[in-house]
Amino acid sequence: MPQIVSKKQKTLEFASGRDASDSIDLQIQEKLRQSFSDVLTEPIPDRFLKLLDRLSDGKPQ
Amino acid sequence: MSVKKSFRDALLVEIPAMRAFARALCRDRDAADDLVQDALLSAWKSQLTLRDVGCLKSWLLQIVRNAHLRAVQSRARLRAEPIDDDADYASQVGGEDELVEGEDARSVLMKLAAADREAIVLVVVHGLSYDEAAEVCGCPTGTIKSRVNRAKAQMRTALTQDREERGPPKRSTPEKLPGRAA
Repeated sequence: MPQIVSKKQKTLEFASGRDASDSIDLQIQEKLRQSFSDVLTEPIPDRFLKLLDRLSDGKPQ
Repeated sequence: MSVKKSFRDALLVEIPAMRAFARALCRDRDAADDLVQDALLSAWKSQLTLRDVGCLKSWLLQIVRNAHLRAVQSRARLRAEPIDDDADYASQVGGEDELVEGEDARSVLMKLAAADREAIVLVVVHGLSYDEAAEVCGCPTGTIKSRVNRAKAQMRTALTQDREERGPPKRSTPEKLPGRAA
């Protein structure tokens, strides 16, 4: 006898699979953001501050 | 406040994002900062072409990307190597070892194809919309979606394998460690 799977059951399985996939995606996002957190939060190096100061003062490069 | 000072301050806010994107492109810390310096100079010279200040971040990331492509093209010309497309540009940049050290997700990221890598960094790390990322990369929005999905799938596989089968990924390149016997 073929097993009868209700529409509701299929929907639940699909939703469960999607939830797992979303959860992994969230983990990947979190890991990626963490892996760049050093450069995103560290102080801006002097070379860039000086460069922008020179540019805004109209000094040639 | 003068226009120059306010533009300077606006650029200052975006420097961390520019540096992070440059590192994803170059895979080398020092080369990335040189790239950001070039991009800042270009941005300053072409500030009048910025039409919407709300798009400053994606405008700057596009400048970083263009500067990167110019640098890779220039290096390739010196080596007389032909370059066909964007993926080839970035794949020819070396210096991977320094940045992957100690970073699981980053080390996996750095192994992705250049086009996939830049797409996932723009969308996931910098929070750009697919449309904005497409504008930065100069390609259709659908292409960006495909690249992000492919990158996510590869990262998912690699990170799962690392966790379940191989244990922690290798953190260094043994042959480059001083004093290590072969």
